[in-house]
Amino acid sequence: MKIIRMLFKDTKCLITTSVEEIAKECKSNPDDLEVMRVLEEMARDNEIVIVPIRKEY
Amino acid sequence: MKQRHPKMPYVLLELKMSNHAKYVYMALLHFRSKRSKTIKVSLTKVAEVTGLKGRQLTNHINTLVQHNVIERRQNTHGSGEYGCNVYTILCDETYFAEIPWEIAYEDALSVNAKIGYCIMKRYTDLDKQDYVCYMTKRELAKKIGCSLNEVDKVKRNLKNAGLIAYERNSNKITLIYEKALVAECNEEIKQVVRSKNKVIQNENYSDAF
Repeated sequence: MKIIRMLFKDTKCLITTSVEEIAKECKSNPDDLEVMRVLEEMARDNEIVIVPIRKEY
Repeated sequence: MKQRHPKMPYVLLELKMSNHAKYVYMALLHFRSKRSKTIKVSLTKVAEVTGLKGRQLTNHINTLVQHNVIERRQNTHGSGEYGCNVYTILCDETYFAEIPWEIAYEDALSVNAKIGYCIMKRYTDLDKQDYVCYMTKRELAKKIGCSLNEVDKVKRNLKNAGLIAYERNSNKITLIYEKALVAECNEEIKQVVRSKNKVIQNENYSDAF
């Protein structure tokens, strides 16, 4: 499972979700690669920021 | 729900064989279950998809077997009676052109048009995501294995079906149908991601109350 954390720039909401969860909610049944591509596009459009998940020590 | 899209291997598209044989392979993919290499299907069902007669179909399947694209064996029941054929995919499927289901099995399109579309898809730059391929008429004729006049027919057939767009005296061919399909799918994914943002907002409101 590919966990991603993203920050919405307008509301400053930080949410943690998985690529599979997003894909499952779509009716068109996209694959992981398509979801990641769209997320990167949204990041490029300054809509979201994909926050890297680091290990907490 | 998006249907499974048949994947035409590049290896098969490059092979020197009749387009009908390649289309028979595409028809076999109709009955494929996910990524399984074996396809269990009767000849009658394949004939229904391809619209070919039994004898022709068998010849094309034999061609595929000769080129080591597929392997065929007959399923036998416990009582010794013969069942349907079982085909095993042998060709390399690492690189492939994914063709929308509705194009691959559309009756209004000719076999050459379908294979031509696969070739156009094969030469699009997937990284750019612009669904544009640059191919001259001669290149297309060579790849499809037909005459220059037939290429015109193929392009016209695909254009009339609303699948591609091109201009006269230009090598640029845009796969407009697929471009729109992907744009629609991307928009849906964006909506789902945005809906997550709204959920969080509502949760914040409920906390405040």
